[in-house]
Amino acid sequence: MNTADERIAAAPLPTARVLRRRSSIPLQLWRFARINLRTLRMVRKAH
Amino acid sequence: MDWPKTYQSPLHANVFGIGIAFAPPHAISTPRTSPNGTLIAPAPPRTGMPSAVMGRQVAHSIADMIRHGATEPTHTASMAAMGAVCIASAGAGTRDGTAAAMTMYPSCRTTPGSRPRAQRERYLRRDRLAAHWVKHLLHFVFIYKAKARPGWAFLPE
Repeated sequence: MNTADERIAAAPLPTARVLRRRSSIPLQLWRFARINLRTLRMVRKAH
Repeated sequence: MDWPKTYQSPLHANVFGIGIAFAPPHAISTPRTSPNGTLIAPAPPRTGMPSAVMGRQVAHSIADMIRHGATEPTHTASMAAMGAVCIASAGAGTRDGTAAAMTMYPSCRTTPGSRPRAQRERYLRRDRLAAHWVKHLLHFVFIYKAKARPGWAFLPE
C-alpha cells in the first residue's frame, strides 16, 4: 500500500481551465443563482 | 423499516429525538470499498438543514400537544421526503473564497433500492466562488432568523 504522501502526490488536480471557471465572476454568478434556486425548490418540496 | 417521521420516543410520549439523537433504520446506499480496502458506507445527513427541519416540525407537534391537547404528534418530517444541502466552506473573501456545494433529494430512501434512481437527485459542485457566496448569505439569513426579526418564520432552515 502507498504511503499517505504518495497517495496525496498521486491525487488528481483540477486543470487550469477548471480553476479559471471556478474563479470566473459571470459564471459563478450564474452558478450562485442556480444553487439558490435548487435549494428553494428542495425546501418547497419538503414542506 | 421506514425512516422515523414524528421523532417521538416509542417508550415516552414526551421525549423526542431529532438530528443525530435517533438511530438510522438502515443504510442510505450500498456500501462500497475503496481500492485499498477501506469500507465506504455513507451515513444519512442528520445535522444542519435536516435536523433544523426536524426540529421545527417536532416543535410544532409539541406546541399542539401542550396548547391543544393533541395526543399524537401532529407534524412529520421524514428524511425520505426532505432534501439536504451542505456548503463546505474553506476560505474567506468575496473574490478569494472557496467552497463546495452539495445537494441531495431526498436525503434517504424509504428502503434500500425502493426508489428508482431517476427520482433521486444528488449533486456535487466545487463552485469555488458561488458556493462561498451562498455560505456567506446563509450566515446573514441564519443570524436574522435566530434574532427572530420580522418574517423570520418564513425563512427556510
